[in-house]
Amino acid sequence: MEQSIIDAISLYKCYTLGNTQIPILRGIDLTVKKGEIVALMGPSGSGKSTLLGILGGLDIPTSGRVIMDGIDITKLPESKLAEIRGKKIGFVFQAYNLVSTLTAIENVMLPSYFVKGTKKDPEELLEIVGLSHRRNNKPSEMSGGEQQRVAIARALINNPKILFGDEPTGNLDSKTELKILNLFQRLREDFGSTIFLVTHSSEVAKIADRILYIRDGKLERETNVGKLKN
Amino acid sequence: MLENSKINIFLKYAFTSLLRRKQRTLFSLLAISISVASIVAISLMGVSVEDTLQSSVKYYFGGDLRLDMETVGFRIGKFDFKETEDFIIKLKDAGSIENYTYTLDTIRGTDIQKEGVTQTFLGLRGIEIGNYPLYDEIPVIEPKGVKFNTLIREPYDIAINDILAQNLKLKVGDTLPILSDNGRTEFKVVGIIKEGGGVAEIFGIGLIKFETIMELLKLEEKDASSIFIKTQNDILMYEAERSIKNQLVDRNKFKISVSNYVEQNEATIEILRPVLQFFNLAGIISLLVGAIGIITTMFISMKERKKEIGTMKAIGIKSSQVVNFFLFEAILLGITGSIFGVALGILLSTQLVHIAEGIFNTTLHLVIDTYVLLYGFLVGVFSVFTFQIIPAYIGSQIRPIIVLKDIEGEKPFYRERGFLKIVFISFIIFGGILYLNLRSFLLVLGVFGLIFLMFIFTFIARYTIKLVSRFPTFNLVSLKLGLRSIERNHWTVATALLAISIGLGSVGGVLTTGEGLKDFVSDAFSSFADYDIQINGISDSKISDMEERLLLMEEVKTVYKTIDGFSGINLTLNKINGKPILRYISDLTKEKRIKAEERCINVNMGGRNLEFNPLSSATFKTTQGRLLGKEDIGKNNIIISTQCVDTFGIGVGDTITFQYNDYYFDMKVIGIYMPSFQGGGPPSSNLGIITSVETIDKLRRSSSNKDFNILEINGVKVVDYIKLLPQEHSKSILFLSKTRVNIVGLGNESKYFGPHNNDKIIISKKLAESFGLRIGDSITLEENNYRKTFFIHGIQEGPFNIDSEIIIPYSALNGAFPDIYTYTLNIVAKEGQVPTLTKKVKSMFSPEFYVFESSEILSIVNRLIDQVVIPISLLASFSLFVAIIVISNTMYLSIIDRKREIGIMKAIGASNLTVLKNLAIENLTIGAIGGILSLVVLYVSFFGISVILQIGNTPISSFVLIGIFLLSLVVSVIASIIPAYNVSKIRPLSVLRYE
Repeated sequence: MEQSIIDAISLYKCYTLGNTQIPILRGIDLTVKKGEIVALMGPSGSGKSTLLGILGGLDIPTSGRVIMDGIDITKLPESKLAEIRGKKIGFVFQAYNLVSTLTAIENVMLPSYFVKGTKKDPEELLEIVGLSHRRNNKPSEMSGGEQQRVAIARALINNPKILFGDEPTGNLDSKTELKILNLFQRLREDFGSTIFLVTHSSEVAKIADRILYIRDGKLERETNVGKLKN
Repeated sequence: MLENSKINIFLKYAFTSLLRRKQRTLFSLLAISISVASIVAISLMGVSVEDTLQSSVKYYFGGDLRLDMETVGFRIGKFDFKETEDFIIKLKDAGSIENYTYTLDTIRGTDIQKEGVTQTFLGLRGIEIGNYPLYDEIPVIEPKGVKFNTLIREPYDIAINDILAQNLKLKVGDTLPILSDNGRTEFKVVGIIKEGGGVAEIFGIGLIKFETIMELLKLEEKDASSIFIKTQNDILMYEAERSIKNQLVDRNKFKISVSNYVEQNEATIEILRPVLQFFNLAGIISLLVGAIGIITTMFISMKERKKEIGTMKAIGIKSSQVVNFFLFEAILLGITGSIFGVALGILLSTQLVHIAEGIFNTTLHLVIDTYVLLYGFLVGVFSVFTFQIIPAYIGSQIRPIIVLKDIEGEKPFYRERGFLKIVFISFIIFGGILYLNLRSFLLVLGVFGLIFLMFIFTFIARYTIKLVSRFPTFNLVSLKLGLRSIERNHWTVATALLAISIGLGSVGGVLTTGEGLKDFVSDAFSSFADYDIQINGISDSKISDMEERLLLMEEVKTVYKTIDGFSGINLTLNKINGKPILRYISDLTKEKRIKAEERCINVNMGGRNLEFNPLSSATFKTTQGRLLGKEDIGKNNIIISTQCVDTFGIGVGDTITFQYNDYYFDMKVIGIYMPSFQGGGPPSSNLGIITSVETIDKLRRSSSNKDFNILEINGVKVVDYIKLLPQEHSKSILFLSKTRVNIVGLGNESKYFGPHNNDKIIISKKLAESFGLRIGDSITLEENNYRKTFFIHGIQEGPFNIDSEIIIPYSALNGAFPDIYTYTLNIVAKEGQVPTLTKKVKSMFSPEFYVFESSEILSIVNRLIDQVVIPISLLASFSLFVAIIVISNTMYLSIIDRKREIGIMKAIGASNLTVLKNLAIENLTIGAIGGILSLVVLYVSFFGISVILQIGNTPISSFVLIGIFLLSLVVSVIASIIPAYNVSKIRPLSVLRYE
């Protein structure tokens, strides 16, 4: 039996804008197993980013629980949550979100300064993402694809249990997109990484084991691609 | 290794972040530099002043010890220069003191005719050439390279100080005519020097040979106003001080005040301390204004970096670590800014020293104290660090979800528990910094109070902005957009308004206070100097003639007679309602007793010309009884001020017995008044006792001392008479020069002489022995070319009335000696006729008499006020300069916030001009609001200052009001120049592309 990395139980989320309550998530249950690549798809305003934020420890649900690696992260205080984010989660963003004033290698190493525990070798990571030759370049000196690869390396430095991606290929052309997707696949194959991606792209869906569809704050359906493949 | 790298990362991030946002960083650096510079400059100046005083204290003091006598001609008590000098020479011979010198100070008139010169007085100081000063040298300004000792050679050489040179427009080689009892003497200006002290600050002073000043004052024997003593060390100094006090003051009861340089130094520093504290406060206010700018900048910086902070948190960096990123930035900023600030501060201090030299009329040497520099540097760094703590904390609380969605956290930051803790810590640190600077808890609390007021003000500003943004816009799109954007950035704009209000408000406040002080002084002055021109020293025989001539002049409104002397006569309180004064005082409460004891001697009684210059109820507000009127002329009725009542508890109807010399008289209190300004009543009249001029005249004729010459004894010329005396009578030589005569009147005559007393006198035993005189002998006395022969009626133990050797009844003098008593004529000119009348009067009566204009004093005082107000305004303008930077910053940042909006506007067709027009409207609106708020600050601060200084309500001149409002607009225009440049650089497409 495959170990589940994340168990989300009955997630509800409401945002308050002024005097109005806006429900975003209306009761979501899901599980992500170790070594899986899961894709979350849905139309704009369906709650994808919100769900990702809650699963990734960036936000707290209005009600419900998220069990990550045996710990209910919804009950943790901010400082402990930060530790979880540092040790167990890796994030990759649509806009790469690298620190513009630091070089590639410094960006990769950045999380490792603040989190105790085993760390990967940043040089090795850059090697894996194929950017050793860019180690001393700043983000402004790199292409979009290169920046995203640095971001992926950064996300891996602390040996996270799960890698989250928010539209990781949204800003990239199709050729570069494929490169990134290949990288994700390699990570899962070579290192057993668990990956959860929010995406609009059908190409991304192609590498997923499961595709979750969300609409109006609820999980509409689930496609088990991996099973299909098998 | 990992820890090292962490610091490296922090530093690198901080450094590169600052470099990336160049304009922002520059603004912050400027604000920090100026704040630190002002603190450093002011502290350095304070240190320099203290140091100069310390190192040259003996020079400024005049020696180790100083003996001061009251001015020749104004002395009440006894003083014998010869005896004093003999004693000092004895000390010198014994080796107790090293050297001594003496000076004689006086004020004389001048009738110098030069373009633009209105001053008619100057100070004169007679010095021992070659022996003065005892320490160091007097700096010679002109001619250059000449030593002071070599300047004054001839009897009529004079060395003047730079103030006098300026006031009378004199150069080396010019002629300076001086009026004295000898008539008109022309002096030659041989040098311009730096000499200060006393009257020199106001009128200016000239140094001349001691022999010459004796000549001018018609002194036959040496006399002095100050004696300076140099001792080898402090121990000998204290010893000498003790013996002098013992011998000369206590035993002989000479009225000398003895002081040493050590206590003088301490006294000066005591006075300096609050002044320096005040200036430090000005530096702190600059710091506060700078703080507004820095905090605002950092807040906006946080806002800009929301996504960056969110990312940091998303990758596992804790909030506390996020704070460190920004604190490192603050430290870097603080260090750089403070280094510049210290350098700028050193530069500024050189300028400030020049200004201080001008004000205090002295040479100051600038001391660059490394402690001060280090202190300024640390203040800068710590302050920036402290200012950054709160924004950094708030930034660190940004929720990581921001990196995915643009939704802020739900809880407002100020409700977080940690926030209050952080604010409290910041305040403690900042309070510590303030205390180091101001050294007074009270002032630190005051600054916190100011910060609190600033917060309140920001709220008010914010609501004003909201109000303004609701103004009708008359469908002008630009105006609408401008107002909307101001409203959107209301907090930022509010802080900018705060900065501008403080900056402008403080400058306006200082200037207005200066005007207020001038008004106050002129009101105060006019309430007791109710004349335009005054002529002093007019004797009985001449006064009616002068009065007539003056009344004939068409420019004259009134002329009235008063007694010579500003303060009337000097008395001692003897009894109240028959009870001896000491018994009366012992019945008062303990606190009142001490004050009352001090105040019963040296009481002044002023004489008012009730006929031609009646008391006005506006200046003298009656609280009990009534004011003196024409019916009180010549009577023994007085009015007293409420201060007298406070001290002694006297009421209407009470009788006070006064002692004047050796004569006692009763006065009845008929009214109590409250003076119209603090310290009220006639000048130096601490109890505000006023009676009619005629009464004072009567009183002074009751017992006064005057010098006469003995012309003949028993019909023989006195020089011949002495030759006939046996050798022992050489003591009589003493009386060849002025013999002091006590003139008694007002009923005292009968006490001494019985009913017939026309030519009888009483002489002292000493005088009798010196000339071998007996009852029945005759003495012919002379004064001012009048003479009369008197017969000795009695011989008594002298001296009489302190130091007289002869008693003469007033009735015996009357007629024979008409010029004993002199008067003053006060002239009031018709509206607008003062200058013409002054010229006429001067040409008619000067140089025989001193003609004094009341406006002279006023213009001098006004000048003094300016000298203080201008440097303070300079300090206030530090804040203004920082305020300009803060506003530029704010406007610059609001543009950054709206890059996208402006890009879109341009994309849809708005030209650069349109965008700039919008900006201009926005900035002018901010300027206008700022101007109004500055005026509010001005009113409030001026109200506060006038309450503290108790100078009453002066309306703020409309010039200042309009000036400040316009200045606010100007400042906002200047502040928008750089942002406008940025606007023109924004390319429409660039903002549409995803960053």
